Amino acid sequence: MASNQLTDRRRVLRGLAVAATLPTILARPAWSQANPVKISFGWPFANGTQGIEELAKRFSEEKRTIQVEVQVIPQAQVLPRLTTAFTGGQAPDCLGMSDAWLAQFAGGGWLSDLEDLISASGIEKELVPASMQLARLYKGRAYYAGFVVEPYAVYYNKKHYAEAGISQAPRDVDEFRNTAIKLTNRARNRYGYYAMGGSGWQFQQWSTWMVNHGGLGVANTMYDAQGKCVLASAKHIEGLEKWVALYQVDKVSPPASATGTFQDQTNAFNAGQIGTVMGWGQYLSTLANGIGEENLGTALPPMGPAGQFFFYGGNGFAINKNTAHREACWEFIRFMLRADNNARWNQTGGAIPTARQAWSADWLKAPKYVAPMEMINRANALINNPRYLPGYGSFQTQFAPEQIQRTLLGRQTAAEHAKAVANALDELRAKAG
Amino acid sequence: MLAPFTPFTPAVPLAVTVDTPRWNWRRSWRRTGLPWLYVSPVAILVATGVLYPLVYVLFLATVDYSPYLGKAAVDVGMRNYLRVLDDPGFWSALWASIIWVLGSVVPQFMLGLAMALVLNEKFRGRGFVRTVILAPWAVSGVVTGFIWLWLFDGTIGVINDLLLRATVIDEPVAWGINSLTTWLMVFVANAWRGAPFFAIVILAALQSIDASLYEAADVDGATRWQKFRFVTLPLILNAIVISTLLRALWTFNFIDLLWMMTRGGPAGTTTTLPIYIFDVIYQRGEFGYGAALSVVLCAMLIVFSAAYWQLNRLTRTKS
Repeated sequence: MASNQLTDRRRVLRGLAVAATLPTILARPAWSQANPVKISFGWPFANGTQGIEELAKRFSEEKRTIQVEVQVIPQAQVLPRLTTAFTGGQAPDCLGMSDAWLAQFAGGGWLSDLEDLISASGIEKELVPASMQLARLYKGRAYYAGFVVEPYAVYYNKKHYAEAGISQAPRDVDEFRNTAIKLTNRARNRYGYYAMGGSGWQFQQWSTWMVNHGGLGVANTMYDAQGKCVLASAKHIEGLEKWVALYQVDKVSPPASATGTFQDQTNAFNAGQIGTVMGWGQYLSTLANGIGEENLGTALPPMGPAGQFFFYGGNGFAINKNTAHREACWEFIRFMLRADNNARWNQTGGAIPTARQAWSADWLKAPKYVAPMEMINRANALINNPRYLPGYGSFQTQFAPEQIQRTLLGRQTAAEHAKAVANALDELRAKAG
Repeated sequence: MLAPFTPFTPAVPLAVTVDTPRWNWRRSWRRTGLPWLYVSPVAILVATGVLYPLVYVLFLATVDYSPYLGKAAVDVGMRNYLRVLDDPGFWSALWASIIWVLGSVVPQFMLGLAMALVLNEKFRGRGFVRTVILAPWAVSGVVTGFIWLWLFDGTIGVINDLLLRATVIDEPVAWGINSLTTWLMVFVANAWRGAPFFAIVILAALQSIDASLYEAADVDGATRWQKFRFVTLPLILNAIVISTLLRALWTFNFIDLLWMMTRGGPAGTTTTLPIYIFDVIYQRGEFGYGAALSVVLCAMLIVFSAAYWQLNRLTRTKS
């Protein structure tokens, strides 16, 4: 009995010893697997966080040698936060980057020049040319690889149009005005257009009218061969006057729109009070959710005597110049830009992917994508707007809204406005050197 | 004639024992070293968290530094400060800041005082009302901005809707396009958020007043107004001075609510100094000039605080 107990105890002890050593035996030796590289990825946009976190998780699981940690940066605080992080050496290894800030951060010498990685990987062939054009907006070098490209298109409420007996979207500025007048019924608090004067891409609205009357400068920029801003010419002023008349004379835009922001415009459109608005591509889902997919129409911006011109923008993935893991960051970027991943992320927001292979997807064949995709493909009509100048951020968010508000509210003429804007853009260019 | 000098000769020779002090390092360490050791963590924190940034801003204000252009800092001496004086943007922002502070603090104080006086009275459910009335103070500036922006929205706002239904107006008012209505809009929003702060501080002061003072005033036949003027007000004056000073300083530097509601518009009307400085630094990328503007703003606030405090002291001494 005693010897049996002893044997049992021995067995138990032996079992325990084996159990304790088993994981060590089964585990791969420490030297056979390098410690995974940890990289941080900064996401500075209000939308799409969930999609990015999902991609990072999948990448980390698939690629066990690289672990990605997503750091969300509130979009409203991007400039102060990232500037402080870059100057203090605490910025993420790689990050999402908007074309609106690209010149500032690339100009500061904080972003890695991606030309070598782009050419070695052959990714250029996979991405939409318009996106690569944006990637190279600062001194012709690629500082990001684009994941979304957005045209600044016209969006309209088909229900309003049908009620007013209008069968199609306006094609030129005169049609645009007449359509807006027909759609307006102030007694019902309904307006044909939203002449946005507040912060948030208002410059793209009124300057479209200026350039479709006066045209563009060299290489579709706003500067002539002598490097002078073209926006102060008589033709450009005429275009601006026509746009301002929509608010002041025709009153087809709500009075509050003179200081209304992009968000205000979206709210008013989704509340069914506005017939036509202009905005970026990522707008599609928001507007479709607001007024119903079947009621949302998209169109190209109106043509003027000088032709038809489009603004376009986009966001991409950039790499911190001082990261110790440049290759690992690039690998993660390549993963996110794979056609399936790129398409999936964009589909949730209703945006257009940069991966050309994804353009054949069924969801991109919906009518609402036709006009935006046509715009992106017509590279000759794309406006090369001065976001490539460091300091453009202040022009776009502070200077331009103040000027257009003065003009809309009758505190200055269109000519004074055009002159002030042209001077400001000349100054920006001079400062950039 | 002066008496001849007679030197003092003590009757008994003085026995002076000089006790050579022994250096007691332990006592000395306890008296001088140890306290420094205790305060050193705080001193280091203050030095790194307050002094270093302060000194750095003073340094930045003397250089031309535009990191977004990739240029190194160039020493410009006092030129940034001189530029401040010549900058019309600075003067218009300063004017906007003064309007913003006065228009915010005065109604907040009046409202807060009224709230505190009511909350100091005994009534059923006072505890609940005290809790509820303080809620706006807990809401962030950004959220307050959003709430009031949507309430005042010129196209789909609730305030317009209510005024239209009450036939006070014939058509929706575009609050944000007119200087006067824009200021009104932001003052209302800020008063909603800031009045509870005054209410808390003044209520605390009111509760510390000895009830016997009011009884004595009753015996003397004082009216309600006289009791407020000669008993309550002098005893809560300190709290009023401190709270208005603090609130004025906070409001001067407060950017969230104003930025959310107006973005400095219409046409730059509500671009206060902090908004202007934010634009100069982070959007134009002129860090040196922005630092000079910050130093000027800081100096102005210090002068204002000192003057306000001194004025209060003089008033109290006189009374």
